[in-house]
Amino acid sequence: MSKKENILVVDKLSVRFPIGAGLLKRAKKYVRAVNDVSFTISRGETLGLVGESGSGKTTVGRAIVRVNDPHQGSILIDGSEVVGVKPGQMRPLRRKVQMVFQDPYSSLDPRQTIRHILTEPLKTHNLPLKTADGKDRVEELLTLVGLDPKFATRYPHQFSGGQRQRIGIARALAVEPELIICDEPISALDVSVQAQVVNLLESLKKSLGIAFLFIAHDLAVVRHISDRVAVMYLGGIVEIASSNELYENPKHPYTQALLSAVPVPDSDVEKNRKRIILTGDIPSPTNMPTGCAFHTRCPLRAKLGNPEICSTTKPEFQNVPTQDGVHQVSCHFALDPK
Amino acid sequence: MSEPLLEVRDLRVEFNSSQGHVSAVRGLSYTVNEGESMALVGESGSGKSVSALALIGLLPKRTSKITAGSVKFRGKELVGLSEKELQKIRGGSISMIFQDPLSSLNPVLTVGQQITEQIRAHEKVDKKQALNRAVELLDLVGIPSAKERVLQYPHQLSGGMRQRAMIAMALSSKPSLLLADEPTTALDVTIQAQILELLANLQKELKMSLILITHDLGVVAGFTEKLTVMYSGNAVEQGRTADLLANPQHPYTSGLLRSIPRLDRPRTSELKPIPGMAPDMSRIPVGCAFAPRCELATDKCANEKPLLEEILRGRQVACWHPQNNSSTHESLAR
Repeated sequence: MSKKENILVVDKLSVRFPIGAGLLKRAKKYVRAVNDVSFTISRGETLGLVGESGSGKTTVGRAIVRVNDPHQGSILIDGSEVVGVKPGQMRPLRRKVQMVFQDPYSSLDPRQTIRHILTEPLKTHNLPLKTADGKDRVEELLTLVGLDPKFATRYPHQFSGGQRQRIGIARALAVEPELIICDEPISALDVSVQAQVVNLLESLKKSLGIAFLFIAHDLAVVRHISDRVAVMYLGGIVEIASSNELYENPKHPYTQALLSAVPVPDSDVEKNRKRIILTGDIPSPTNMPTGCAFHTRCPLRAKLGNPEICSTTKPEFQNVPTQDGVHQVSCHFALDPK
Repeated sequence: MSEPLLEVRDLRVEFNSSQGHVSAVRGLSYTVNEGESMALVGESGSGKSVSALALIGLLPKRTSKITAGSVKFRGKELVGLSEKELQKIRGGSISMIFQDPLSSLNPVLTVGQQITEQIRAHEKVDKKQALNRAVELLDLVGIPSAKERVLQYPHQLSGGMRQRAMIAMALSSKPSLLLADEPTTALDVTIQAQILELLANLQKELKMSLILITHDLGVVAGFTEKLTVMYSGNAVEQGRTADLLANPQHPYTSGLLRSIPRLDRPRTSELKPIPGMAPDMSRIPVGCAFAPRCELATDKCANEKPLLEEILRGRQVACWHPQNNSSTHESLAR
């Protein structure tokens, strides 16, 4: 059987968290963290997922590995359904998807040596500790992420943040996954070290053909590393397009505002650019706006004289064919701002 | 020439730790004029925040001290002032705002109580007048329905609102200098844009001087006039913000600018990171602290510490091999 083209297919995924639920108390309200999110990642592709805090981007990543259980929807990893699978049967699927976390300090056990940390996933999945030509897997993994194989006997506290993040990446690579979910992998690192980790991820993608879901709030890094980018707002995806297309030609008013808010280190550009300043804060996901989730802050809606449809009807994805694949945007007026 | 508002000369700060003395700030000098805005940029551990805390006597007393240097504010020496005298200046003519508004506000007092407390610490006004002032201040920083908000607790406000409330508190004494330590780092980018715009407008309106401490070179570009880049407790480059970003002379500054992807430039195939990492502050190299990571380093760099020298008009660089040509800028722009 030929391999499926898409390593990941997420369809109409919703995740919600109960508020105030207890042993004998039913939840009265839910935080709707992710609503009706659909996207795909093909083999060897990097999809960037951007959004502000509370947009649900982390929850999407965690739902794929079933850290947070989805409420509705379907997640196919390499063609097999993940939602509803019993925990015991998750293991073969987990081998295909691994995760790299934001904080390299809390995501490594301080009492385990690096060898212990890297051997654990191998043992869990019954994988050999030696390669076919007799080399030590742990040393091979450390070399792969640019660390000295001699470091295997050390403990996490003996490493800097950047090195720890490399260890976290080595741990994810140990089971030879086909998809790695990176949740803000560089935001805890110093600026001068961030580029080192970004380059490592890119070279791994090239040499091993791994697909990435790259979750981050730094829009410039996401543009750099991603083939395609999805923008989330308040639990839903508002726009997906190829990285070039999205940044050159953003269509959703939220994406436009987000991009215009990113400061760049050039005073001339900064002083002359037109910034779209959004008013107010992101609404609470316990009390979602009706219609389009963005309508309460939308500058385009205000410009059009607050059309009613924005507050009553949730916009469907509209597909715009481009040179770089399909550009999808969920807005009533983005394509035709009358 | 008129006297600068703030003049910091050869400031040195040391911490005592179990591993001996750690020099966090090692001879920092800069000046800020009336109404001027300066950015202090550096990575974690570069000493940017510590140097700002030192200005207003907020360093932890048991573990740290200013070992040398002078801080003159309107010609008056601040180093060595008694706690009582410092208290008058702090939150008076010099105010500070911090990165994390949630942990810098008192969770059990309302926003109004906290602002009035500060007003009444510096001025003789009664509670009612102070509360009215607090409402005006919240209005000034763009908090809608300030009359209700003034009675709310910090947890009832969003992150952006809390930072606005902190700014209102800092402005209550009409300071002539505002120290802003990473004021937008904890905020989302659209909220960051709101707060930066607010700070820039307030600075102009109230004719304050501003020191903005940040690690983000993008944030400084738009609204600071001067820029001091710090590395391992030293200023390595100083100058006008626009020129400095366009034509960096110190290899650390240019390396930093090369290592970040930028939305205003076409996508590049690969980033150029600075190799290695910042030195352990208890074991700083003898010569230039950046030498172990620097492409241009020679024996001299490893052995002799370079001092800040003016190499272009208005540009000071601490480097034995400043890049001193505009072709670096061209290669950056590629």
